[in-house]
Amino acid sequence: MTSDITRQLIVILEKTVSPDKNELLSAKNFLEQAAASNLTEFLKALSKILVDTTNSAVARMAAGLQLKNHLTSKDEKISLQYQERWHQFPDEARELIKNNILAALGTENTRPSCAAQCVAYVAVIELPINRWGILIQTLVNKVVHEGSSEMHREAALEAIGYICQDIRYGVLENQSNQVLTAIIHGMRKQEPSNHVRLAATTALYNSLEFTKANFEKDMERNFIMEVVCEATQCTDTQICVAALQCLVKIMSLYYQFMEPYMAQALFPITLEAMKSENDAIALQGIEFWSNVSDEEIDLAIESQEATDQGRAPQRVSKHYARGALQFLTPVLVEKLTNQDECDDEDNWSPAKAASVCLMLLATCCEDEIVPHVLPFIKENIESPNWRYRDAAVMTFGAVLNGLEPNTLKPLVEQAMPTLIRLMYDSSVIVRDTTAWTFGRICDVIPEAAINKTYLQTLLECFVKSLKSEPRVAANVCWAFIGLSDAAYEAAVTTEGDTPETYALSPYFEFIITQLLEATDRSDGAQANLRSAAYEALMNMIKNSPLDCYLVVQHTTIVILERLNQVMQMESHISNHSDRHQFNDLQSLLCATLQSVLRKVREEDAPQISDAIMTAILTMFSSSAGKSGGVQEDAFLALSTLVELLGFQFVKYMPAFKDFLIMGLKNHQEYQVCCASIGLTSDICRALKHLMVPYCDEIISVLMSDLSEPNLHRSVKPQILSAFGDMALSIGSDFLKYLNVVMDMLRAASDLQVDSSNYHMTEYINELRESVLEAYTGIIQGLKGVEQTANPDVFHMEPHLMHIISFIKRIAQDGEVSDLMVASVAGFIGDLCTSFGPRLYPLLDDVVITHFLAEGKRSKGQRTKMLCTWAAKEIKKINSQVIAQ
Amino acid sequence: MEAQKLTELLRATIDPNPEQRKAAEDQLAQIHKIIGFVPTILQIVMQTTLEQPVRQAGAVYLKNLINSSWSDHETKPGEPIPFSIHEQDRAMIRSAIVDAIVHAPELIRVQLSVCVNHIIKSDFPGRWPQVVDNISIYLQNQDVNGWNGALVTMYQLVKTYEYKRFEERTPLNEAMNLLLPMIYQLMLTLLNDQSEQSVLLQKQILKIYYALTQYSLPLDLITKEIFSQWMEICRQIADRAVPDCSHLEDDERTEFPYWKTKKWALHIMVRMFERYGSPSNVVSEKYQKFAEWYLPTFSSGVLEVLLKILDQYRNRVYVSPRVLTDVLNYLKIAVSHAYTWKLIKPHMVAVIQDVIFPIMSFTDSDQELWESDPYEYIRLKFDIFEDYATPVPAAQSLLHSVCKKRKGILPKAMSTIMQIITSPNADNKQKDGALHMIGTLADVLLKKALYRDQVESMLTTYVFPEFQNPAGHMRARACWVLHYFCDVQIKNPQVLAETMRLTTNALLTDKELPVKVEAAIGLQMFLSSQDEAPKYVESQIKEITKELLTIIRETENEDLTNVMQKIVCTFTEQLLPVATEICQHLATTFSQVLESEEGSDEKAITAMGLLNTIETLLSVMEEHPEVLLNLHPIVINVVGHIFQQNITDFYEETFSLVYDLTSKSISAEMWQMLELIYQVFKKDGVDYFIDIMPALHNYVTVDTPAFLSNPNRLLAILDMCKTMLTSNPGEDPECHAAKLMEVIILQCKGQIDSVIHMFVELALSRLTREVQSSELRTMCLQVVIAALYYNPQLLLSILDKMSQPNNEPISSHFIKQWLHDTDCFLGIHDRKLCVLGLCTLISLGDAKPQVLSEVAGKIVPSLILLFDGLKRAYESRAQEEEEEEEEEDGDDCEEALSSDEDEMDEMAPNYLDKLAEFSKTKGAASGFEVKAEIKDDDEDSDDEAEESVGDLNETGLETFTTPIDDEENDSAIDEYWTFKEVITALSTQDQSWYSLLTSNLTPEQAKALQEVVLTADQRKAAKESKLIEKQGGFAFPQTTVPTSFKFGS
Repeated sequence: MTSDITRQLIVILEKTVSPDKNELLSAKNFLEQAAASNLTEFLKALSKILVDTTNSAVARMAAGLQLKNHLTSKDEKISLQYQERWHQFPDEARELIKNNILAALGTENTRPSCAAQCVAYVAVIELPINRWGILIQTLVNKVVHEGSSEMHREAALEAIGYICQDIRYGVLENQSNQVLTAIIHGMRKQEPSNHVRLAATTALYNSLEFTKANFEKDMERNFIMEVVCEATQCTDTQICVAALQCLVKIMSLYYQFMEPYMAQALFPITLEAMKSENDAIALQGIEFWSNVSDEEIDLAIESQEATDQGRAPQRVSKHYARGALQFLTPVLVEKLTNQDECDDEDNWSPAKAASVCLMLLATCCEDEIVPHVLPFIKENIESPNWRYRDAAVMTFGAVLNGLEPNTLKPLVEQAMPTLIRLMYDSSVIVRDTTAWTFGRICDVIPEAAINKTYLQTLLECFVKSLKSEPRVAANVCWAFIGLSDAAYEAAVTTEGDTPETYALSPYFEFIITQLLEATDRSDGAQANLRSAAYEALMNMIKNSPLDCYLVVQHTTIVILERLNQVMQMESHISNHSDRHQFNDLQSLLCATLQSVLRKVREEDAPQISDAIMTAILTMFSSSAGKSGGVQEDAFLALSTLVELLGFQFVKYMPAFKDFLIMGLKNHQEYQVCCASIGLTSDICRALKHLMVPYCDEIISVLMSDLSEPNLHRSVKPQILSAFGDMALSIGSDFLKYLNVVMDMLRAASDLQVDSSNYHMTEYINELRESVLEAYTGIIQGLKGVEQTANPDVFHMEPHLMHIISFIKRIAQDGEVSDLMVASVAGFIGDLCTSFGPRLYPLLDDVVITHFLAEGKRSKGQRTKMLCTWAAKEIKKINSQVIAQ
Repeated sequence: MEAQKLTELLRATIDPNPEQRKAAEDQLAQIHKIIGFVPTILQIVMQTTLEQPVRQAGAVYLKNLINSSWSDHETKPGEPIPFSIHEQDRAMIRSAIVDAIVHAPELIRVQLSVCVNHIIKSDFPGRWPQVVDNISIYLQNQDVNGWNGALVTMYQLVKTYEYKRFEERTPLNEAMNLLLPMIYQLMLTLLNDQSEQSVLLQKQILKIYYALTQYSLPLDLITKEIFSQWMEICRQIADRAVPDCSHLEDDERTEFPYWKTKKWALHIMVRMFERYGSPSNVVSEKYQKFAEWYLPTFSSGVLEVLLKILDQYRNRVYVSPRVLTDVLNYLKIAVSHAYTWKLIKPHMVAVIQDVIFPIMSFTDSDQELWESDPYEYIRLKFDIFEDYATPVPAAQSLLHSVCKKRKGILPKAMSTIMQIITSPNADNKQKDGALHMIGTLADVLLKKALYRDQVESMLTTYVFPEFQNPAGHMRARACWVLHYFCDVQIKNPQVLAETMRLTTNALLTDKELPVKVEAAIGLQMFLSSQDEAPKYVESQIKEITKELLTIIRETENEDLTNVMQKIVCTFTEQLLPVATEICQHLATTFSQVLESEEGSDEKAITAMGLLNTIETLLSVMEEHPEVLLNLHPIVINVVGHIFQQNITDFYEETFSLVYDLTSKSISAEMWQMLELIYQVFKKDGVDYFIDIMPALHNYVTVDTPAFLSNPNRLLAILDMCKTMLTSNPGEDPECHAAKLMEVIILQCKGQIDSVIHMFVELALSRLTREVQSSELRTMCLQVVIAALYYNPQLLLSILDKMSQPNNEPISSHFIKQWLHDTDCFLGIHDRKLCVLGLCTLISLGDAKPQVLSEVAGKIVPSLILLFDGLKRAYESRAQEEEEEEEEEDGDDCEEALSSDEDEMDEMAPNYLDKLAEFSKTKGAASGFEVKAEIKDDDEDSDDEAEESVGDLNETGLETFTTPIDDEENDSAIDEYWTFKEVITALSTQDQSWYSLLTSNLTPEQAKALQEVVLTADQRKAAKESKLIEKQGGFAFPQTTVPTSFKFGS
């Protein structure tokens, strides 16, 4: 019986594919309204339309899609809400819908089956709570039943595939036998329909994670592997690719079981696949070996760990990659010569996959790879055909990271002149690859790059290349980062001391000028050049030795000017993309400003601070100032400025305060909030008592931040630390906030979590660390700097019991980081110096004694020192106790 | 015994005619055993009418006789009973000797006091309690002459107990209850008399008190009151003025009795403070309370006196060097304690300026020695035994300590030093002192960022120019200072280049030997500490080496041989062409040293240094067979010489040379050497077996076929082992011998059937005698286990033959003992062999000895215990290897103490106990009991971990490897896998035996067993994986895709 409403709905559904925009829109509105007015009835109706084969294919498909869209969503939160909603429906409605969609399975003429999706998403909701028990068997029956039609088999396998893909881990394990039976049945060579085989292969791919038990049984595994291998030989490309994907995944999941298949089947199959003209197939072949390498790199690490601990590793490598190297490398380098002429970043080609595979093979097989690739490199690096030149350079760059320094260094030094020449190649692709290779050289073996013999010519070609195509220039920027790191590191003699000079000093100014020019290029948006150039600039500045300070100063002025210029450009912004670029540029400028400020000497800071503050305040008040990214970078830059200026920053506070508060209130963009809290701490430390007038407001904002449920949790520890900084800065003036802050700290220190969750454990540690910082700051602030503690600190006395029990809780926790041990020890010492003998009964505790004794054996000098100090302080107050 | 005749004989022993002397000595030898002989000698010695030389000859003869024949000797069965003085004579001597000492003139008294010492050692208190009374009578008498003899005797009595532990001192303490108050009273009397004689007696009393207290302070004997009395005496003596002695020469002044007495008083004070008076740093827990009392009670009094002495020194009043040394040592201890530091702090800068600085400056006598005898100058500067003769080391050490430990002193010291260095008026001697101080403070300066950054410029500005100073001692000082800063991080490579250039230049071209020596040592330090240093001297390395060889020969200084070793190790490649020359030179210098005056300690050390250098040369050239070919004959010569001349002093070094000569291959000459070694061993080598062992191990393992080709070689080594295991040389050497036997059995598996029974018998018969250490017991068991592993049937038949009828079969006894002792097998090798042996045993099938069914239930638990131990042993070995790899990074976070802090030595035994004690008392006070003990973490609090720390990094003997220890080889034996195969095979092939073995396991044991099997699989997989890797990866024989896929069939 087709009611009017249903008929009307069918008409509307058919319009969802209308080419007429207006019809489309009205259909959309109608459907939304229908769903809103009575969802249950709406879904029931949709299911009826779907199951009714007399309806048009379009209507059925649209109905299926609508139904599916009310069962699941890409947004995880919404998906959960939908699931919850589904459970609220009356049983009768759910049963009806389930019957309809299941009945519709295999009756559609369209691919892919919408009914299969509907079935799958209901299954994902119901199976975990043990409902719809008959489903899996029903689906299996549809696949294996003799009389089942192609469409029935296909749709059922599709449904199985979707279920496997989306179901929660652990739900289907008990039914893995049935599921596999259906899948393997569908994958058999004997299966006449390629559609069915493809659906089955896809389903297998999705089921691999939970069929571990089947893979552990020789018989079953043999059979699965047989079917998969057969499928890889199918003439249908899609099936072949899907089967190869299965192999790739099987290899990483079940590496330890693969030995019987490797030599006779998997190796020839994948080698053949790699050679295929069909890119999709070739990609899977390459992917297989990338995966093997990846796996064997991990296994090598595991094995090393085991050796270090004096035991046998639980799993071992069979060194497939090493054994296959001689066969793989010729194919891979051949693939490298098939590069796309116009580079499209998103297009994943066999050539790109091959270079990645080579990198992994090199990491995995280390020096072994050299004899297999070196002849190709030597023969082709000067080839007249650019494709071969490029492939040779690419091969060289790709294998760098696997080689031993002793093998690598002479190779690179030998290649230097050729590579420098190739930077002037006629082919942009070759230059691009060469620049990238230089980047890797600087990264992997920097000492070869800053070698005096080539340094000057190398820099010349770098600087020239900054002016060439954006992709080449961007790679050069990357190389500059490595180069400056290397040069700086080589010059540092004492940890933490800025060296007098370094290898790049003679060229420093010139490089900076050229990089500044590169940031200004009109095509800077391409290939990420602009940000790459700024990154390089920042790194050069960060790694500048003392004799380059003048350039740093000068760069500060340039950046400041640019900031001002950019803001004047704002009125010209016309579209969204421009706005985006504009914001990015401001962010980059702020970040660069921060990096130069880090280098500026304290005595020079006051001369530029007015200009900087004017620029930044203008920026905050402009519309660009509304962008979270820009705000964040601006706050970070200001943190550095505050550090430089110290209390002199106070003169900007009246103008700046509101923007700071704005940042603190930015709950949506929590990174901004974090940056502003960090800045607040910095300002507190800098201004000390001058901060007092602003504290009321800041405290109240921070308090409301803490009680804001939607604020990202990572912000909260920062707030607690900020309390510590504030207390330390304003001393006794903090007393009026003491009780409310202590309540917060107490709540935070009492927080317990499930210790099996790694992220939460980490979070708890972070939180404890910040609670400690806060306590430390408050106590130090209150007691003051004098020898005898300021009596204000005794206001803390009511809290001491709780604080000490908090310390003991940390001390008893097995896994305390070295940093935390140091913080705790420092804090204990502070407590002793503040409260003296009266604290002794609380601290005289085996847990604490033991904790400190342990800490004294730490490898960290600071930890060792603080623990020794704390123990000494305890001893001291003890002797005072005795003396009393 | 006729005194007259004896007197004549004694007179004849000092006759100028050698024949006369010989005849007299022979005759004395004939009659000395006659009863009455010894007392007669004493009579003669005491005859005042006789001429002094004869009496003296008698005294010496008496001393020698008492030394060799006073005590009863142990008698060995079958050997003649050695002579010892008859008890009747001994009684007569005992009753007369104290009187004799009292009345004898000084020269004879010295000999007699040695006699009395020996007698007390042997007879007190048992046979001679009267000695105490003898002493006390003379002490109570008013006769001054009696006092001295009594004190000399008393001194010998106390000395006998000086280093005895507290528990063994009861007889002494009882005697002292009587005597100590007497000498105290005597002392009080003497103090009023400033005559030289009285002062010498005072010295003797102080020496007695020192010997009584310096090693262990008997607190029940010496109460606080008594201690205070003696401290007051010492204080007074330290404080009192010394009569003018300016008329004396320097050496004589030191011997001036007033100064000597003062020295002993100070000795006592330093010792008391150091060992018993330093809170939290006392030598034993039991003095902690005492120390807490000592510090406030005596510090200000003592320090006042000491500072006064230093004041005298400042005011150019003579203070003897040893007294000065003690004063400085006392101050150094005082720096560590907040209490005493407060007292000396105000004076510290003055002490540095006016005491330490002049002491550390170059002196006129230094100058004199430098000019007259540069060799002696070098010897003195480098002689570690010479430390006490001058106050220089004490001054150095005080300066270092105070600058390091106390805040604010370093800057003051440095400003003093800089003032001197920068002063245009400073002469060389003062500059030398300043540079000396800077070098002493080098490590402290390098830890402070402020100074560390200035070190480079300081070296360039103040030290480098001194290389041009016409005064040789300043050039030597410049080299010396540089080397103390060898750890500085040099920022400017030019500074390093210049350092190396100047030092090298000084070594090569300086005319003054001491400069060359200092330069050589500086060179070595920089080569060791600065990675970049070698490249600056590389081009001149041959000249440097030659020069070094020359000055080694000239000075025979052993520090220089260390320099040579460093150079040989650093520049191995460069020295290849001259290695032979170097070796020859060293060998020649060695024989030169041997020929020069014998017996001197420094010469011996130098000779050892030369041998060590030769050894270094051999080992660095190990990879260059063509060079070794030339070195070997030279070294063999040296070795042969030492062995043939039986120069036992150098056996240790020589055997390690033999080890090096046999480490790669064994030449015909070296096989001959084995014969020589055997002879040496038989002659006087028993004590050196542990040193011979590494070489013997080489002979057995490096070329086993050659070793076995001549049966005498095996028999010789076996005979050495036999000697060791039958002659009671001590259990450690015996363990080595047993180990060597085990190595031979494992190394020669299947090739020495005919001698196995000798090994087994030797090991088992050693077990029938008393064995104290579990190490020797397990080592002997291990020999038998190795034989079992070698060939079980053979062993069982040997054991059967040894068995006595009606007794328990030896095999049964052995197996039971073995299972009982499985927990004594430690380390990796021992446990592994034990596992392999048990595996062999349980898979013997029908050949199983009967006892096995009796002990079946214990075997698998034993194996589990062994595997558990192995797991830990492997883990700890890996951990050690990793720790070795980790670099030590020295950091600068060391902080000076502020004035109110004590330096606490946390390693001191009582630190943790103290904490524990505090927590206990506190716990009790607050009404609850603290049970937890605070343990040092090295101890595992786990009750089950009974095995000591030594368990994990056991055993020294493991370095002697056997074929079963090879873990890298493809055919290496894996004990886990062996066990798994055995147990799996039994489970199918011999089920009843299998169930006997495994049916009674606890659930934990069953689980452990499974884990062992799993580990076996994992170890096998890991090994296979390594093998695949070694073969170039997994083998892929085919590249064509098969037409169909069928797996598992």
